[in-house]
Amino acid sequence: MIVVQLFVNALLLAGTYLLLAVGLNLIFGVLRVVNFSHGGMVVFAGLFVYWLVLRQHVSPVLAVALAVVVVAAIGFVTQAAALARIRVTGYDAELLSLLATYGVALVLVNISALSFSADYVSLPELQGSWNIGSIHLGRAAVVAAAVGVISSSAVLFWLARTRSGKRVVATAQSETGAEVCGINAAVTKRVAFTLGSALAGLAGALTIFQSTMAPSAGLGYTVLAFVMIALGGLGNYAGAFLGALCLALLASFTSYYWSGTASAIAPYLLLLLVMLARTRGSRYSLV
Amino acid sequence: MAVIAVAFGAYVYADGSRYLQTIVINSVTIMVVAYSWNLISGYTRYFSFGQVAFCGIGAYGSAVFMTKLHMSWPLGLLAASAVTALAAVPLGWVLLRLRGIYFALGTVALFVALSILATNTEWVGAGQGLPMPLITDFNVILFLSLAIGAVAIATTFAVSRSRLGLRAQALGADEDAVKVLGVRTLNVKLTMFVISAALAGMAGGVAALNAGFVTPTTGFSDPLNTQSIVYTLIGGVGTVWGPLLGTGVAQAIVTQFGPSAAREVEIALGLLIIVIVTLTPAGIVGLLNRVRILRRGVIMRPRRTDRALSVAPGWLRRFAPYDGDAILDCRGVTVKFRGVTAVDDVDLRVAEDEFVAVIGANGAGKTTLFNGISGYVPRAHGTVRLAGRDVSRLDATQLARAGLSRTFQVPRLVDSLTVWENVLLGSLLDSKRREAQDRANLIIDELGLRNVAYATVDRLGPGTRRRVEIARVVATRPRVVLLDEALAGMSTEEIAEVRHAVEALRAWGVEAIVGVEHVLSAVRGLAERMIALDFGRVVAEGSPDDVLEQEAVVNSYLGGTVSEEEEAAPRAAVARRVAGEHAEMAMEVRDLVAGYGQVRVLWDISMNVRSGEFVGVLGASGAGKTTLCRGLTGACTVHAGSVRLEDVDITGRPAHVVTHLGVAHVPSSRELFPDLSVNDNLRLGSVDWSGATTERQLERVLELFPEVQPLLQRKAGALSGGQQQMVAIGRALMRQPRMLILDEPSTGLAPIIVRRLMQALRSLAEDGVAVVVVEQNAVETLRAVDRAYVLQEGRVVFSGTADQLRDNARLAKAYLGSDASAASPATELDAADSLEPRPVAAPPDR
Repeated sequence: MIVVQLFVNALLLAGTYLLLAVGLNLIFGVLRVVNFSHGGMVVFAGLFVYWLVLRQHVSPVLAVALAVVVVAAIGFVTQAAALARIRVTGYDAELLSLLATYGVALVLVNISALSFSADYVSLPELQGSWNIGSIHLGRAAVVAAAVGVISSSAVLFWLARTRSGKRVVATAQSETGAEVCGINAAVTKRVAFTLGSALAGLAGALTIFQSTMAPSAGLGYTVLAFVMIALGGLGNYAGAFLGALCLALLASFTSYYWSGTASAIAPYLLLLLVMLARTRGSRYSLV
Repeated sequence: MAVIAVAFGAYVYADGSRYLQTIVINSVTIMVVAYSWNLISGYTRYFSFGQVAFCGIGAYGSAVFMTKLHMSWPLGLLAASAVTALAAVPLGWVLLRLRGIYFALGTVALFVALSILATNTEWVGAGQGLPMPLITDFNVILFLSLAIGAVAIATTFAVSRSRLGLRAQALGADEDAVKVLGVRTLNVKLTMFVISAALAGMAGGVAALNAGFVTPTTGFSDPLNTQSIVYTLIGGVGTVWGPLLGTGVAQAIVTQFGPSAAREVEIALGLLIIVIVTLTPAGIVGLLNRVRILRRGVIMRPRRTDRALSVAPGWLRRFAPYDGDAILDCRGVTVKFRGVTAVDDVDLRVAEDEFVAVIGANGAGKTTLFNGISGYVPRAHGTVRLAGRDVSRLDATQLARAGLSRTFQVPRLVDSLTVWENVLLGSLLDSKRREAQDRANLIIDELGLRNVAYATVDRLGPGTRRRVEIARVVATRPRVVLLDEALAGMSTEEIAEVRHAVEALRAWGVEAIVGVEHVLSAVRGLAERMIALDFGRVVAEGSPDDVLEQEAVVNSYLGGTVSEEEEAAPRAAVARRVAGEHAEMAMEVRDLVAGYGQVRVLWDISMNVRSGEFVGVLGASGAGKTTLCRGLTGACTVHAGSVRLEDVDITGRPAHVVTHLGVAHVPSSRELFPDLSVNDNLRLGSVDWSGATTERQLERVLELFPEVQPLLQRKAGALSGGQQQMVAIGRALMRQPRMLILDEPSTGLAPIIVRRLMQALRSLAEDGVAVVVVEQNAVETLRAVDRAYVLQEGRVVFSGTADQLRDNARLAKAYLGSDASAASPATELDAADSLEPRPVAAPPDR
C-alpha cells in the first residue's frame, strides 16, 4: 500500500515539476540559453506569496496571481535589459548569458531573503487531505498538481495548435527561417522568456503551499529543472513531461526508503549519471 | 611582484590590527579562488559554477590531516592541496567531457552534492564541522595567505606564457579545430582543471586555518563562489591581472559595508554582473588594454629571427617516407545525414608525392567526404588507411598525430591569438620549444606572413587567414594534407602566393595533398589527378584535362552543355510585363558595401530589378552571392551604399521588416522548420494563417508545385532536398511577395528538377513578381532569366542580357578557369586589398 501512496505522491508532485520543466524548456528552445535564474524565480515567487498571505493578508489566489505577474515582469526585464544586449555571438554569448542569468539569480535570492523570509517556511493554507481508502491526497498537493497540469497543458496546446504558438516553435527551430517569414525573432524571444519565467513563478507559488522553501534552495530548483529537461532531451516537451515524472518518483521514493539526504543528493547524482551516459559524441555540446 | 607582496604584508604586519589582517586574509582567499576559476573558466572557457567544491575538499582535507592525523599544519596544508589535485583528476575526466551549460551545471551538482554529503557525514562532524589546529600568531596566516596569493599569480603568469596556456586558450576558442593540430584536448583541459583545483584547495585550507574550524557552510561557501566569479569578471576574464585587480577594487568597496550587509552586497554584485556582461565583458583589464596598459605578451615570442633551420628538401618530414602503394587509401567512404546519403561509396587512393583535386559543384559532397575521412562526421561505411596503417577508428587528434591533417573551408583560427601563436600551436606537435619556434618562423617567412606575424588573427583579411591556416597545419609536419577550398575567395595575387606555397609543400616533405576545389582555375596547374563528385558519387576520375572535358563534369558545373542550349528557343531579353495583382515596384541598389562585422565582402554593388523581371546573379563559390542576398534583405552589415524599394530606404532594416515590405528571401540553407509539418511551414509564411487570401494562395502554391500536395502532413525535416526547396519557395510565396530573392535554389537538385524550378520561377515573373535568382548553375539560369549580373570577388564584373552572357567566354573562364593566368582585367580587382591588416599592433590582453 505504501508503494501506491508513494506513487500517488509522486504524481501530484510531478504537476508542479512539469511547470518548472516546461518553462525552462521554452526558454532554452527559443533563446538557446539555460536560465540560471530559474530557481531564483521559483523561490522568489514562493516566498513572495508567503509574505503576501501571511504578512499582508492577501487572499491566496490573488497572491499567486500577483507572484506570477511579478516574476513574468522580472523575466521580461531580464531578457530586454540583459540578454538582448549581449553583443558577442557564438559560444561566448552562451557563457555570458549564463553569467547574466546567474546575476539575476543572485539578485532574486537575496531580495527574497531580505524582504520575505531568510529561513525555510511554508504556508499553513490548504492543510488536511482527502482520503481514498488508505491513500491520502494532500489538499495543497492536489490543487497544485491540478493547476500545474492544466497550465502546462495549456502552454503545450498553445505551442502545438495555435498560430502564435507555432510562430514561437518556428523561431526555436530556425531563427533565419522565422525572420524570412516576417516573424520578429527578437520579440518572440522576449515572449518566450517572459512566459517561461511566469511558469517558474507559478511553480514557486504552488510549492510554498505544499512544502517548505528558503532562498538558499534557489540553485537547487535550477538544477532540478535542468535535470528534468536534460533527461527528456533539451527542447523536447514530451521528454520534459517524462523527466518531471521521473524526478518526482525519485524524490518520493528516495525520501521514504532512504533519507532526506539521499533525496536531496539524488537529482545531482542523476544529473551526473545522465550526462555521463550521454556524452558520446557532441550531443551535449552546445556549440 | 614578490616584493610588492612582502611590502604589503610588512605594512599590514606593522599596522598590527587584527581587523585589517582578517580583511586581507579573506580578500586573498577570494583572489586565489578567483585565479583558480580564471584558469579553467577564463583561459580554457569551461565555465565552472562550483569551483568552491575544491576549496571544500582542501579545507576538509586540511582538517582531517591536521586534527585527525595530527600532521603539522604546513605538511597538512600541502597534503590537502595534493589530495584536492588528485581528486580533480577523476572528476575532471568525467566533467570535462561536457561543455557549456552542461559543464556549468555539472560543477554546480558537484559543489552542492559534496556540501550535502559533508552536512550528513558524522565522520567529518556533520553540520558542526571539524576544528582546526590553533595558530596563535595570526601573522603566520597573514604571510601564508600572501604567499599563496603570490603562488596563484605566478602560476597564472607562467601558464599564460606556456604551451599549456596556448593550447588551453586555443581549445577554449574552437576545440574541434585545435584537434587537427594534434592537440590532445582532454589532457590539456584536465591539466588546467587540476592546477585550478590545487589552487582552490590551498585557498580552502588557509581559510579554514584562519577561521579555526571548517563547517559545510564555510568549506563549501556560497558567497565565496559568487565573489570569485564576479571579481574575475570585474577585473577581466582570462587575463593574468584580472582577478587581482577585480578583487582589489571590489573588496575595497565591499568591506566598507561589513558582514551585516552581506545580502545587499550580493544584490549589488548580481546587478554588477549584468552591467559588465552587457557593457564591458572584458572587464577592467579590457578597458586598460584600450589605452595600451597591461596588454598580453605574445606567447613564446622568439628573441632572435635567425635560426638553425633552413628550407631544405624534406625539412618538414616527421616520418620516414612510406614506400608502399597508396599513402592514403580510403575505400567505400559513405556518409549519411538523416537518411540522405551525402557521400556514397567513394574510393580515394592517393599515391606518394601526388596532388589529387576533388572537384564538384555546391552540394556535391566534397567537404562531407573530407569530414568523413578526417573523423569529423561518422562514416556509415568505409575504411581509411594512412601509410598502410588502418586509421579508420582514430579521432581528429590521433589522425593529426599519425600525419593526416586538414584545413577548413572557412578557416577556423583562434581569433584572439596572433598569427605567430596560431602557427606555433601546430609547430609544437612533437617538438621541443626551440625547434618549434624555428619551424614556425621559417613557415611564416615562406608563406609571406612575416609582416603580420604579431597581429591578432581577427584583424586579417580572408586571404591572409587562409594562409595562416595552411601555415598552421603545415607546421604539424603532416604526411598527407586535406585542403578544403584553400584557394577560394582570394585575390589573384593571393592565389599565386598560396599556389606557390602549396607547390613547395611536397618538396618540403609533405607526402601527398588532396585538395577540394571549387574554382577549377586554381587547381588546374597544380593537380596531377582529379576526381569529380556529383550527388556524392565519383562521376569522373583521371588527369585534369580529361576530367574537365567529360560531359558529366561539365554538366554538374554548368548544368548542361552549351550545344544542348542551342535548341532552346531564343527569347527576347527584355522583361515581360504581365498585368498582375501586384503594384509595380522596383528595387534599386546603389554602391552597396556590405559584409559581416568589420569584414567587407561586397564592394560597390549597383543593380536594379523591376516587377516582372527575372534576373540572375551568377558567380563561383566565394564570389559574395550569399552576402548579396543578405545585403538585399537585411541580414548582414551594410557599410555604405543604399538599397531602396521604390521610395522606401530598406538599407540595414531587419529581415522581418523587409519581408513585411513584400520582399521574400529563400536562403540557400532553406531554413525550413524541420519538426513542423509542411502545411505549418507554408502557413507560417502567410500573413494571417488561414484567411481567404491565404487559402487561395496556398492553392496557387500547390498548383505551382503539385509534388508538394501529398506531402502536406509530413514533417519538413523528413523531405528530400528538392522537396524542401519547393516548400521553401512555396513558403516565401505565401505572402504574395512583390519580389522574390532565391539564394542558390539549385544546390543539390537533379538537373531535371532544376529545370522545372526555373520554369516555375519564370512563370512567377510573368505574373508580375520581380524574381532574383542567385546561382552558380550558369547554363540553367541563363536559359531562364532575362538578364544577369556576374559577381567575382565581391564585385559586379559583368552585366547584360542572358543572350549576351551566354556567348561570353569570360563566364566560362570564371567557372572552369580554362586559362587562369590570363584573367581579364576586370577580374583582377583585388577584393581583399583593403582587408589587409592594419598596422601591426600588440594583441589585446584577454
